[in-house]
Amino acid sequence: MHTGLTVRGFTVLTIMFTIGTSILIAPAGLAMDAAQDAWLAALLGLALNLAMVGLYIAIGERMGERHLVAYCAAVLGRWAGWAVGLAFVGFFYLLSALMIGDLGYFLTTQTLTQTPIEVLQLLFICFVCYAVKLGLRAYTNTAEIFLPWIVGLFLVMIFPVFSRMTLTNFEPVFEKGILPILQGGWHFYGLQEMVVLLMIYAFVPRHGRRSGFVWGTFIGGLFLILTTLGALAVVGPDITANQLFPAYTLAKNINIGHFLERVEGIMIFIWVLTIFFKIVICFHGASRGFAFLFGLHNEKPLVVPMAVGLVVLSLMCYPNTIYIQSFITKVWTPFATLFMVVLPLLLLAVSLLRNAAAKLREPGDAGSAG
Amino acid sequence: MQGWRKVGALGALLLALLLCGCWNRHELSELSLVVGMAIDKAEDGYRIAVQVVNPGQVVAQKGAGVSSTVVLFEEEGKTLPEALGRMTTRTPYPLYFAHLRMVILSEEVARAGIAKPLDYLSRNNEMRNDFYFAVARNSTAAEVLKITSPIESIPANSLYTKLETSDQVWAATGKITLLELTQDLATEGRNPTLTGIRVVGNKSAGDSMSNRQYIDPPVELVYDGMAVFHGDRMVGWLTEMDTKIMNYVRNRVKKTTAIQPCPNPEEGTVTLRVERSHANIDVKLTDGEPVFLIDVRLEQDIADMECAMDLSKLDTLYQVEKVSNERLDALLKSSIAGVQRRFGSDIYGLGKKLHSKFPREWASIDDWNETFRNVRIDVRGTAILRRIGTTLQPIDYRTRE
Repeated sequence: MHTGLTVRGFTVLTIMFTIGTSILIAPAGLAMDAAQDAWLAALLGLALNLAMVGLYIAIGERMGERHLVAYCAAVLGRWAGWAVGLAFVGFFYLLSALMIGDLGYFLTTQTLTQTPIEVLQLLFICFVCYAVKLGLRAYTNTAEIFLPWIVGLFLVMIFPVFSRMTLTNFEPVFEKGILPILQGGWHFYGLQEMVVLLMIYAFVPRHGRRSGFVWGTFIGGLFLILTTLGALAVVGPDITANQLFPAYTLAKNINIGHFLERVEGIMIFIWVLTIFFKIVICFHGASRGFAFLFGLHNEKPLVVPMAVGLVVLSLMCYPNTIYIQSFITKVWTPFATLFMVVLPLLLLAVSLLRNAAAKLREPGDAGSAG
Repeated sequence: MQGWRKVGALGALLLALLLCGCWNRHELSELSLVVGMAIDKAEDGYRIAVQVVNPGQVVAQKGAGVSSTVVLFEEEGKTLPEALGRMTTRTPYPLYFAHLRMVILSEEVARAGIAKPLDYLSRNNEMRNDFYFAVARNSTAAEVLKITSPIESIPANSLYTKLETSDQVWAATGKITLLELTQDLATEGRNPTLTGIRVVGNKSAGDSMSNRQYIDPPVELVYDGMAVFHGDRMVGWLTEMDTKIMNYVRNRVKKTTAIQPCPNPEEGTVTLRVERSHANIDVKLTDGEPVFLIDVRLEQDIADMECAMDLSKLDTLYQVEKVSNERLDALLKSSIAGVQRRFGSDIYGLGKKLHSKFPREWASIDDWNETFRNVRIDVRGTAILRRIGTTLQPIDYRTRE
């Protein structure tokens, strides 16, 4: 299947995917767990993510021309594969809904306080639908166009921060030992659900896609680590942990001689754009997987009805802001691990076993299981 | 046809996107821009005063100056947001806080604890972080906002720029933002300080635009010293010198002026302008007890010379430098010892340093501020003389006896 997706485009999508949601909220969770060592926790989280990407590449290279849900069916057989595929589709769909919720709560808390949350979410979803209907190639190209803007604006925001750093904010290192750092890293990794990208991976040109996946995750992770460092250095670990949106608070505190100030709009721009792509990728994955499960050739008729459900689901999932906080820190990581680690490992193991079994039985028959 | 439909649909969507903001629109002409806020204690809760800009009078035009440039509204409430909500029964438009410049606290509020009133300020999404705090020294907080300012037409703006300027060149004040204040409150081993403000002159004369018609206004607002906090409760006042020393130690001094007597004190004094200052705090453990070393380095120029000294000789310069060193040492020592004894509140951030360097010892200390009272603090002041201005000798050098 030729989609016109390039390795570069895929790398850009990976970067956007990593930055989305995390850049705004990750520093708070990290600082809550690891205080002044939050940046170490972010580094650890990035390492965990890269390890996950290694696992996904191992699976992705075995998928042939199939996306993740189709691959489930191929490996696990008709019924089990269908059930696991449905679980993945549900996960992607839920993830999209949660991000729509994050977006709505952020905008209504910080800037558009009087606008009803549903209206913002609905309008946003209209654009998500539009992007998904135009298809993978269109939104990848859009991401490529916007990436320089995001990088440029991020630099405008982060450079002044480093002139105002208080290095003592990072001391003492390892005060409470290694455990809080592990905890922080664990929560951080749970925010970047790279497994969704396996819905696209098979359609990226073979040559160079592995390094593209790794580099995209790494570069996106750098953005997050820099933001965490900035928040710790300028706002301090105690205040960072007590903010709902620490990166926004960080941006608010940038002031160079009354010349460069009030740059928090930049932060909104970066965040809304990256979360847009993350939602598009997740939602496209969900609708595509759903179409496959029910034997539709094309996911497009499903997009609008599924999108309407997203708004409802997001409002059901997130009744208030504190719920989001405790949900993300307590429930999300273990839940997401099921889809990010357990099921992919299961897929890989079954696929390896089937290959080995096929080789034993009939040398000529090998590889039929994918 | 299909293509045009798509374009039309997209256009409608884009327009709808703009409408979203309209929900939240604020018309500039229908807002009361709050530039100053005063927080006083009331019998039950707080008495809040806000200084609101009177836009028609700020822009200089013909006929302006009849009514005042700002208006003060006062209201009571159990909490800040309640008082501000009730205030809408007095103000013509909703209050808008993004241009807030100054928050004045009364001494009573400061002594009772500032954490409670501050919560609203840090929770509200309209608040920015570019306004400063001050504590009213000899009046209520509202009275501070009732006094007109010379030259700058909006009193709260005048307070703001006054604080910025004195921070730049004089260093015996502190421009403390909400972020710095909450950081000091949240950091164990460092206590906050807030600049003090004093009404000088006839208080009741300030509340009228006529105060602006004098060359020498009968009443003025002057920054004076800083309030020391123990946690969120104010415990006392720092003098001008103590404030300056604290600002040296916390690396907040940009420029300031220092004086010292001549070798023969009858001749007068030498005035030095401090151009650069850097402080370093170090801590060591001696027999398990923390011992601090505060190292302050100044770079200064001679600004004024009253002594009969031959400035063309290198020795003279070294002599001035030596006196200046000794004086800095003595001032640091006595001021810091005074703060330890009188307030027992670590406004220098020594505890934070101990925490950073020796986390285990820090964990074993229950009440840092009590420990701070008796902790050993060594100081080392080093003042280097760089320049002597544009002239070599005092102007009466040749004619002097």
